[in-house]
Amino acid sequence: MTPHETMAPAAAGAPPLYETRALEVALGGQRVLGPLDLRVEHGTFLGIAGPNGSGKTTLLRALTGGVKPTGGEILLEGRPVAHYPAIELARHVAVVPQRFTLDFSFTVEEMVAMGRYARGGSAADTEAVTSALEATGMTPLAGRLVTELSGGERQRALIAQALAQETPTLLLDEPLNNLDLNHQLEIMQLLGRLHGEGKTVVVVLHDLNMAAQYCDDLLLLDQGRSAERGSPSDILDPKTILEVFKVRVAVHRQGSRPYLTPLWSRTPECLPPAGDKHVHVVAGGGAASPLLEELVLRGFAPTVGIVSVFDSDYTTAQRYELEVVSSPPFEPFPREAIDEFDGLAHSADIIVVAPVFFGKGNLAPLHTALQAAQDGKRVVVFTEPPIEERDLCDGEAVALVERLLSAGALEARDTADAVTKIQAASA
Amino acid sequence: MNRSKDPRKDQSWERSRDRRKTYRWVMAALVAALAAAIVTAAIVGAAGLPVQEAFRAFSALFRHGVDATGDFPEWAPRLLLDLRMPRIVLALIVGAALSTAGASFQGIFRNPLAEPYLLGVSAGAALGATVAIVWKPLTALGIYTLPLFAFVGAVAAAFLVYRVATVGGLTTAASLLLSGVAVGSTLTALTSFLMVATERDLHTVVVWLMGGLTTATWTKVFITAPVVVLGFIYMLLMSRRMNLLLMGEERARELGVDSRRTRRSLMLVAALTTAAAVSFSGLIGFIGLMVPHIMRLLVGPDHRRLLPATALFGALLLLVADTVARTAMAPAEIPVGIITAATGGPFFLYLLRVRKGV
Repeated sequence: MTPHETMAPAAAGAPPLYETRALEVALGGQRVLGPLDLRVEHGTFLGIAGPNGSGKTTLLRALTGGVKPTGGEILLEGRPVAHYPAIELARHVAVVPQRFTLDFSFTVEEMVAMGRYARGGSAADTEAVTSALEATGMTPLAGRLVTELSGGERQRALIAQALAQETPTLLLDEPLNNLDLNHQLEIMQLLGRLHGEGKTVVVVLHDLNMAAQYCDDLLLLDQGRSAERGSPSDILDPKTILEVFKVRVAVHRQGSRPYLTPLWSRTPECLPPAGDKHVHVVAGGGAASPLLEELVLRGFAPTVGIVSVFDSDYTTAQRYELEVVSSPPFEPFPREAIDEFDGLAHSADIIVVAPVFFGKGNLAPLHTALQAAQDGKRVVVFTEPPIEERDLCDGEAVALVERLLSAGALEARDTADAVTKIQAASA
Repeated sequence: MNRSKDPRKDQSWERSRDRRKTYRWVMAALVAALAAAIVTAAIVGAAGLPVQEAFRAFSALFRHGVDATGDFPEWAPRLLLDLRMPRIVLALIVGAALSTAGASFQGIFRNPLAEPYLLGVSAGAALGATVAIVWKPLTALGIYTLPLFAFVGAVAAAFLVYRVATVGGLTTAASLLLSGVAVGSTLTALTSFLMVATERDLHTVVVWLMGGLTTATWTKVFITAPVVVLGFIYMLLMSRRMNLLLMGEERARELGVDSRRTRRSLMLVAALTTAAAVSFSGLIGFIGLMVPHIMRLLVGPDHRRLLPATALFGALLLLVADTVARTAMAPAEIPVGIITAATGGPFFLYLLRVRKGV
């Protein structure tokens, strides 16, 4: 993976909010971050993600001035961050760190009011504090002592303190830790609102899906370097996630945003046991999708066919990057597709017939399965819902299934049952 | 859930309002108590002056000056002015100095158990004073030799502790505390050695170490007062920053405080204030540790309220203790440090039972 420039398109003339050039940070003699070239424009909602140790927190600390670069430079509004006196920096940028200690009995309101220090104590103070408390849902807790707060309440108090600073830019380091889902969404929605009001928000997040849902711009770090930069839809694909996180994921869609579900990790202990048997699945009409997902989760890489390209079983196969025999829609299966399907069946160890609705047009795979059973291959057939209800070809499918069963095919009542039998057959 | 229109009417803001009210009451009580203590201290004593006559002399002194006459011995106003008043004022100054320095150290170290003698100040002052008592150098300065040596010892020790604790430009609270212990125990060892080596002056040294205001003069007051008053004003100006420092140097920096510089100058001012007090009063314990602690329980941790309350209570406590010290076993004097420790400890225990936290 080569470090490459991660330039978002620049506005003519005005300096970007943040710019780093060959930024390097070494901690304790070890290079933790860089070389990194980065531009953050005003008004972005940028998420920073990456595996543990990828340098996310260090990058954030470089942005806040908490750590000085050991190489290269980092500029805020065109000036090096280190040149800003603390009080001036606190008027530009508010920081929400991962945690805080305050072992003295200040009230939440008093703690939030500390955020007003950089603004020098003006009439606007009480208003800023009140709205910061409102925005984080901390108003009922304003008089509570900070020593009496729960983990999530502490998190929200810290965010309120940063909001009270009323800066144009907000930097947050994993603000969702310790929050239940309810509050996580509240905070992300709050950040979205603030972004809509014109603030620049940069947030380091663990949760890729949260980042994908809310951030417009995403930076993926890997071992201190930039791996990818772009919109979540553009950069969150299984290949990138596998490279950076060493985890196999499936990418779904929620609205216009991607949503990742983990499959398994690459480390040997985590690999599911039965990975090397070839399972070949007769699919169609979405009937095979639950089975395909369950097989993938268990480490299988089933082959699928024959499905039309508009079939949801086809989409499922694409999502999990499975080999699929496809057919153009609204046509009978072409010869090449049937031959390809037969070829896969021939090399397969196990063949599964999903609870497909069979019509005259998609009987060919069923014939293939019967042939395989008669040749002695292990075949599993779904018998629920009953084949009689799924036969749209005047009994031909029913007959084929009966012959399958008498040729030694196993019955499966549902997905779980089928999986059990497939695993037993591949042991 | 119902939300009242004005969040201030909400029950949750009670505590913030409580704090403001409590503070006003506490300050009013302290001022009243101080006034009473000053008058009481002025009129009681070992001089064989009856209390009623002393009171008349006291008010006459204020209205007509030191040559006033009335229903009291004619030496009474002069006794009050030259002997008792300086001692009273010095007690107020030293009490305020030690307690506010203690509050500052507790804030800087984020530790309610910090105290003004942390940075080797007490050990340095003790060594300086012991050297002055045992070797009697620079007799030209007369009675100011000892305070000077104590002050120089205190300040030099503080600087030494700071330098030792600074590694690569970085001075952490932990290294300061360790350095304070290291330097302090070395200096204390030297002091003990000198004490053992002398027989004739051992009593003097021990009495000095236990703390006392016996030899108070207006000159001493005029020397210490500016340092302590300026130091207090500085601390008060820094009180918002001290609040933020309680969240740690890094967080304070993120909120806009130049943490390193602020901590360093606060430490310097607190050490100077302590040194100024200690050079004239010896090592009076308890006040720097407990007074801020007690005040925090009453008025809260916000330094904008804590510092003034601490100054008043420290002044009051030392004045009362000193008055007891010179009258309880008259004409003998009990070292005031014994009084402060004996009364303060149980009081703090009581407060801990009644309130729950610091």
